[in-house]
Amino acid sequence: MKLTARQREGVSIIEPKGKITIGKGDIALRDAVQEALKAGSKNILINLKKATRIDSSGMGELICAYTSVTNRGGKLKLLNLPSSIQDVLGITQLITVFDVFDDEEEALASYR
Amino acid sequence: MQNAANTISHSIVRHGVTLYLLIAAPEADKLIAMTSTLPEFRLAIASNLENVDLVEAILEAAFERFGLTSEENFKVGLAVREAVANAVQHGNQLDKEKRVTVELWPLAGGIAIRVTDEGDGFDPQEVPDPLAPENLLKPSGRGILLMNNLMDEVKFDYHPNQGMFVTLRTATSSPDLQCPT
Repeated sequence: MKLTARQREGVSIIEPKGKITIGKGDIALRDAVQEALKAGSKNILINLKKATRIDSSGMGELICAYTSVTNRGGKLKLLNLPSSIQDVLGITQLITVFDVFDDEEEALASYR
Repeated sequence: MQNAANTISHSIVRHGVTLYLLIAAPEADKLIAMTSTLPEFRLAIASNLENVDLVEAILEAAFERFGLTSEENFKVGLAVREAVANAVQHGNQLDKEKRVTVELWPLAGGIAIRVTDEGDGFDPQEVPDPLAPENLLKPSGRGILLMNNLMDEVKFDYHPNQGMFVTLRTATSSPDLQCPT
């Protein structure tokens, strides 16, 4: 899994590409979120458009990230969920935890 | 070790015609063993997390050749991934001396997969409900929930001195898939 990060309007946008799964992808996501928090970011938006798969470990990292950000008074939100990932977040009911957006501008506006 | 070449061949019979599966597996040398004596397709891995990806890649190639749709491949692949990851991490406690075995049977109208570890077993009834409000934000414990939702049937059986057997079955859109007799 490859991962890029950028800043827009004070929001860290993290974009994983590939599998957010046990052993590699989940750890890469954890590291990216921790790096953003260490750099002083409060709000994080994870763009899952190019994520191809997520397993229970990947979902665990999403929840850890959500908790870390929330505990620091920020907000972690999701952008562009592929239908397959939306399905598994639905099965686990994690879809009810996150604010989910289909449009980056709309997502950024929600942080203002 | 068997089939240590970069390409693993496997065959199934459909409508009396033998189909040879050629599965590209550049990391096949990491497999401890792999046999394809029909009706079984069996592989064994050492208990490390990297091998979860390897099993998934091999089985997805097999599922594709069996005629599963991409959606079916995704669902079954994820369910098997969860079972194998549980076996590696929780069953065998990442002990590289212990194996996880994965067996696949094409059935009439579906497929069955059995994942076996060499651990001490567990009672799935004792796994906390990950959908309970108090567990929703916990980082782990969703694997069995996913398996149960992605497959038509999931069975957990502990065999003393052998390990935990997790059997997954699901119907597929390839009802003509048959094992040879």
